[in-house]
Amino acid sequence: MKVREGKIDSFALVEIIGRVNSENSESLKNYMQELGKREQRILVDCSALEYISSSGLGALLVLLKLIQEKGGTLRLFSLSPRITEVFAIAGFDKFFLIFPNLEAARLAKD
Amino acid sequence: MNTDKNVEVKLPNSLAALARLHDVVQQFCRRRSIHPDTEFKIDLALDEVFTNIVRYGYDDTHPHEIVVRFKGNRDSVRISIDDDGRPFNPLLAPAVDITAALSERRVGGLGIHLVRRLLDQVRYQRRPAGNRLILIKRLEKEEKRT
Repeated sequence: MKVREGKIDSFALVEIIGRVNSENSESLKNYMQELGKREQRILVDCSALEYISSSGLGALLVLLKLIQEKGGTLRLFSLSPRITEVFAIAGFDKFFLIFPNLEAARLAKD
Repeated sequence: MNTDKNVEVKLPNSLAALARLHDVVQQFCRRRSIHPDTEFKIDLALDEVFTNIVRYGYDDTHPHEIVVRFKGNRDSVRISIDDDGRPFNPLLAPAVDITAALSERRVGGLGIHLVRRLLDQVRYQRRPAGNRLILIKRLEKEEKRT
Protein backbone atom coordinates (compact mmCIF):
# COMPACT_ATOMS: atom_id res chain seq x y z
CA MET A 1 0.00 0.00 0.00
CA LYS A 2 1.09 3.52 -0.76
CA VAL A 3 -0.55 6.88 -0.21
CA ARG A 4 0.07 9.95 -2.34
CA GLU A 5 -1.17 13.37 -1.44
CA GLY A 6 -1.65 16.49 -3.53
CA LYS A 7 -3.97 19.45 -3.91
CA ILE A 8 -6.82 20.25 -6.27
CA ASP A 9 -8.94 23.39 -5.93
CA SER A 10 -9.66 23.78 -2.23
CA PHE A 11 -9.22 20.06 -1.56
CA ALA A 12 -6.47 17.84 -0.31
CA LEU A 13 -6.34 15.01 -2.87
CA VAL A 14 -5.33 11.68 -1.41
CA GLU A 15 -4.68 8.58 -3.46
CA ILE A 16 -4.64 5.16 -1.80
CA ILE A 17 -2.73 2.68 -3.92
CA GLY A 18 -2.57 -1.10 -3.72
CA ARG A 19 -3.77 -3.43 -1.00
CA VAL A 20 -4.88 -2.40 2.48
CA ASN A 21 -4.94 -5.31 4.91
CA SER A 22 -4.58 -5.66 8.65
CA GLU A 23 -0.81 -5.69 8.37
CA ASN A 24 -0.59 -2.17 6.94
CA SER A 25 -3.89 -0.65 8.06
CA GLU A 26 -2.36 0.73 11.25
CA SER A 27 -0.06 3.00 9.26
CA LEU A 28 -3.02 4.09 7.11
CA LYS A 29 -4.99 4.83 10.27
CA ASN A 30 -2.17 6.94 11.70
CA TYR A 31 -1.97 8.84 8.45
CA MET A 32 -5.75 9.37 8.36
CA GLN A 33 -5.71 10.69 11.92
CA GLU A 34 -3.06 13.21 11.04
CA LEU A 35 -4.81 14.12 7.76
CA GLY A 36 -8.18 14.54 9.45
CA LYS A 37 -6.75 16.95 11.97
CA ARG A 38 -4.87 18.99 9.40
CA GLU A 39 -7.37 19.21 6.52
CA GLN A 40 -10.96 20.39 6.17
CA ARG A 41 -11.82 19.31 2.63
CA ILE A 42 -10.59 15.98 1.31
CA LEU A 43 -11.02 13.96 -1.86
CA VAL A 44 -9.90 10.33 -1.77
CA ASP A 45 -8.95 8.72 -5.07
CA CYS A 46 -9.65 4.97 -4.90
CA SER A 47 -8.92 4.19 -8.55
CA ALA A 48 -5.72 2.31 -7.65
CA LEU A 49 -7.13 0.77 -4.46
CA GLU A 50 -7.08 -2.94 -5.30
CA TYR A 51 -8.21 -4.37 -2.00
CA ILE A 52 -9.35 -3.28 1.44
CA SER A 53 -10.15 -5.39 4.50
CA SER A 54 -12.24 -4.39 7.50
CA SER A 55 -9.23 -2.91 9.26
CA GLY A 56 -8.66 -0.62 6.29
CA LEU A 57 -12.33 0.37 6.36
CA GLY A 58 -11.73 1.24 10.01
CA ALA A 59 -8.99 3.68 8.99
CA LEU A 60 -11.41 5.43 6.61
CA LEU A 61 -14.04 5.53 9.34
CA VAL A 62 -11.58 7.31 11.62
CA LEU A 63 -11.03 9.95 8.96
CA LEU A 64 -14.75 10.39 8.30
CA LYS A 65 -15.52 10.92 11.99
CA LEU A 66 -12.76 13.52 12.34
CA ILE A 67 -13.96 15.43 9.27
CA GLN A 68 -17.62 15.32 10.25
CA GLU A 69 -16.86 16.53 13.76
CA LYS A 70 -15.47 19.74 12.36
CA GLY A 71 -18.05 20.12 9.59
CA GLY A 72 -15.60 19.39 6.81
CA THR A 73 -16.04 17.54 3.53
CA LEU A 74 -14.86 14.06 2.62
CA ARG A 75 -15.59 12.56 -0.79
CA LEU A 76 -14.42 9.25 -2.21
CA PHE A 77 -14.26 8.53 -5.92
CA SER A 78 -13.40 5.88 -8.52
CA LEU A 79 -14.06 2.83 -6.35
CA SER A 80 -13.83 -0.43 -8.30
CA PRO A 81 -17.00 -2.56 -8.40
CA ARG A 82 -15.40 -4.99 -5.93
CA ILE A 83 -14.54 -2.28 -3.42
CA THR A 84 -17.99 -0.75 -3.94
CA GLU A 85 -19.50 -4.09 -2.96
CA VAL A 86 -17.36 -4.28 0.19
CA PHE A 87 -18.54 -0.79 1.16
CA ALA A 88 -22.15 -1.83 0.60
CA ILE A 89 -21.83 -5.06 2.63
CA ALA A 90 -20.22 -3.11 5.46
CA GLY A 91 -23.01 -0.52 5.30
CA PHE A 92 -20.41 2.18 4.68
CA ASP A 93 -22.09 3.41 1.52
CA LYS A 94 -24.58 5.24 3.77
CA PHE A 95 -21.86 7.26 5.52
CA PHE A 96 -19.43 8.06 2.77
CA LEU A 97 -20.09 10.35 -0.16
CA ILE A 98 -19.00 8.26 -3.15
CA PHE A 99 -18.59 9.63 -6.66
CA PRO A 100 -17.84 7.92 -9.97
CA ASN A 101 -14.80 10.03 -10.81
CA LEU A 102 -12.67 13.01 -9.84
CA GLU A 103 -14.71 15.54 -11.79
CA ALA A 104 -17.96 14.50 -10.12
CA ALA A 105 -16.33 14.55 -6.69
CA ARG A 106 -14.67 17.90 -7.25
CA LEU A 107 -17.73 19.67 -8.64
CA ALA A 108 -20.34 18.29 -6.22
CA LYS A 109 -22.14 20.80 -4.04
CA ASP A 110 -21.60 20.64 -0.29
CA MET B 1 0.99 -32.76 0.06
CA ASN B 2 -0.21 -30.39 -2.60
CA THR B 3 -1.93 -31.96 -5.54
CA ASP B 4 -3.39 -29.98 -8.38
CA LYS B 5 -6.71 -29.85 -6.57
CA ASN B 6 -5.78 -29.58 -2.94
CA VAL B 7 -3.41 -27.13 -1.33
CA GLU B 8 -2.24 -26.94 2.25
CA VAL B 9 -0.25 -24.13 3.77
CA LYS B 10 1.10 -23.73 7.29
CA LEU B 11 1.50 -20.15 8.45
CA PRO B 12 2.88 -18.53 11.59
CA ASN B 13 0.44 -16.52 13.72
CA SER B 14 1.71 -13.22 12.39
CA LEU B 15 0.01 -10.61 10.24
CA ALA B 16 3.17 -10.61 8.13
CA ALA B 17 2.00 -14.01 6.82
CA LEU B 18 -0.99 -12.35 5.10
CA ALA B 19 1.10 -11.70 2.01
CA ARG B 20 1.93 -15.40 1.72
CA LEU B 21 -1.72 -16.31 2.28
CA HIS B 22 -2.72 -13.93 -0.50
CA ASP B 23 -0.17 -15.55 -2.85
CA VAL B 24 -1.54 -19.01 -2.10
CA VAL B 25 -5.15 -17.89 -2.71
CA GLN B 26 -4.10 -16.30 -5.98
CA GLN B 27 -2.24 -19.40 -7.18
CA PHE B 28 -5.05 -21.74 -6.18
CA CYS B 29 -7.72 -19.64 -7.88
CA ARG B 30 -5.78 -18.94 -11.05
CA ARG B 31 -4.82 -22.56 -11.53
CA ARG B 32 -8.49 -23.42 -11.35
CA SER B 33 -9.61 -20.50 -13.56
CA ILE B 34 -11.75 -19.10 -10.78
CA HIS B 35 -13.16 -15.71 -11.65
CA PRO B 36 -11.18 -12.76 -10.22
CA ASP B 37 -14.34 -11.50 -8.46
CA THR B 38 -14.64 -14.82 -6.63
CA GLU B 39 -10.92 -14.83 -5.90
CA PHE B 40 -11.29 -11.37 -4.37
CA LYS B 41 -14.05 -12.60 -2.05
CA ILE B 42 -12.11 -15.68 -0.96
CA ASP B 43 -8.99 -13.57 -0.43
CA LEU B 44 -10.82 -11.02 1.69
CA ALA B 45 -12.73 -13.59 3.74
CA LEU B 46 -9.57 -15.55 4.53
CA ASP B 47 -7.73 -12.34 5.42
CA GLU B 48 -10.46 -11.49 7.94
CA VAL B 49 -10.48 -14.96 9.49
CA PHE B 50 -6.69 -15.14 9.69
CA THR B 51 -6.46 -11.63 11.16
CA ASN B 52 -9.01 -12.48 13.86
CA ILE B 53 -7.07 -15.59 14.87
CA VAL B 54 -3.74 -13.75 15.01
CA ARG B 55 -5.14 -10.80 16.93
CA TYR B 56 -7.49 -12.48 19.37
CA GLY B 57 -6.90 -16.23 19.27
CA TYR B 58 -4.10 -16.74 21.74
CA ASP B 59 -3.57 -16.22 25.42
CA ASP B 60 0.20 -16.42 25.16
CA THR B 61 2.88 -14.82 23.03
CA HIS B 62 4.44 -18.06 21.75
CA PRO B 63 4.63 -18.80 18.07
CA HIS B 64 1.71 -20.88 16.76
CA GLU B 65 0.88 -22.54 13.49
CA ILE B 66 -2.27 -21.86 11.50
CA VAL B 67 -3.06 -24.45 8.84
CA VAL B 68 -5.11 -23.49 5.83
CA ARG B 69 -6.37 -26.17 3.44
CA PHE B 70 -7.94 -25.51 0.07
CA LYS B 71 -10.08 -28.04 -1.73
CA GLY B 72 -11.85 -27.51 -4.95
CA ASN B 73 -14.47 -29.50 -6.73
CA ARG B 74 -16.64 -28.83 -9.71
CA ASP B 75 -19.14 -26.66 -7.87
CA SER B 76 -17.34 -25.03 -5.01
CA VAL B 77 -14.20 -24.20 -3.12
CA ARG B 78 -13.84 -25.36 0.47
CA ILE B 79 -11.26 -23.83 2.77
CA SER B 80 -10.55 -24.94 6.30
CA ILE B 81 -8.54 -22.92 8.80
CA ASP B 82 -7.18 -24.73 11.83
CA ASP B 83 -5.66 -22.99 14.82
CA ASP B 84 -4.60 -24.15 18.27
CA GLY B 85 -5.85 -21.04 20.02
CA ARG B 86 -8.39 -20.85 22.78
CA PRO B 87 -11.88 -22.07 21.94
CA PHE B 88 -13.65 -19.40 19.99
CA ASN B 89 -16.59 -19.64 17.65
CA PRO B 90 -16.66 -16.41 15.64
CA LEU B 91 -20.14 -17.27 14.39
CA LEU B 92 -21.49 -16.73 17.90
CA ALA B 93 -20.00 -13.23 18.13
CA PRO B 94 -22.63 -10.48 18.29
CA ALA B 95 -23.74 -9.43 14.84
CA VAL B 96 -22.61 -6.08 13.63
CA ASP B 97 -25.41 -3.55 13.22
CA ILE B 98 -24.76 -2.14 9.79
CA THR B 99 -27.74 0.18 10.13
CA ALA B 100 -26.28 1.92 13.19
CA ALA B 101 -25.53 5.62 13.00
CA LEU B 102 -21.99 6.68 12.19
CA SER B 103 -21.24 7.67 15.78
CA GLU B 104 -22.25 4.18 16.92
CA ARG B 105 -20.31 2.30 14.29
CA ARG B 106 -17.37 0.23 15.45
CA VAL B 107 -15.02 -1.82 13.33
CA GLY B 108 -15.10 -4.79 15.72
CA GLY B 109 -17.20 -7.60 14.32
CA LEU B 110 -17.14 -6.17 10.82
CA GLY B 111 -14.63 -8.79 9.66
CA ILE B 112 -16.84 -11.78 10.41
CA HIS B 113 -19.81 -9.93 8.93
CA LEU B 114 -17.89 -9.58 5.66
CA VAL B 115 -16.91 -13.26 5.79
CA ARG B 116 -20.54 -14.36 6.13
CA ARG B 117 -21.70 -12.11 3.33
CA LEU B 118 -18.88 -12.81 0.88
CA LEU B 119 -19.14 -16.59 1.15
CA ASP B 120 -21.96 -19.08 0.88
CA GLN B 121 -21.36 -21.10 4.01
CA VAL B 122 -19.27 -20.73 7.16
CA ARG B 123 -19.09 -23.51 9.73
CA TYR B 124 -17.27 -23.82 13.02
CA GLN B 125 -15.94 -26.99 14.61
CA ARG B 126 -14.35 -27.20 18.01
CA ARG B 127 -11.69 -29.88 17.87
CA PRO B 128 -9.47 -31.37 20.56
CA ALA B 129 -6.48 -29.60 19.08
CA GLY B 130 -8.18 -26.25 18.61
CA ASN B 131 -10.60 -24.46 16.32
CA ARG B 132 -11.57 -25.21 12.76
CA LEU B 133 -13.47 -22.81 10.56
CA ILE B 134 -14.76 -24.06 7.23
CA LEU B 135 -15.50 -21.62 4.45
CA ILE B 136 -17.41 -22.61 1.35
CA LYS B 137 -17.74 -20.55 -1.79
CA ARG B 138 -19.93 -21.79 -4.59
CA LEU B 139 -18.60 -21.23 -8.06
CA GLU B 140 -20.52 -19.47 -10.77
CA LYS B 141 -21.50 -21.47 -13.82
CA GLU B 142 -18.67 -20.26 -15.99
CA GLU B 143 -16.08 -21.13 -13.35
CA LYS B 144 -17.20 -24.70 -12.90
CA ARG B 145 -14.97 -27.47 -14.02
CA THR B 146 -16.49 -29.81 -16.52
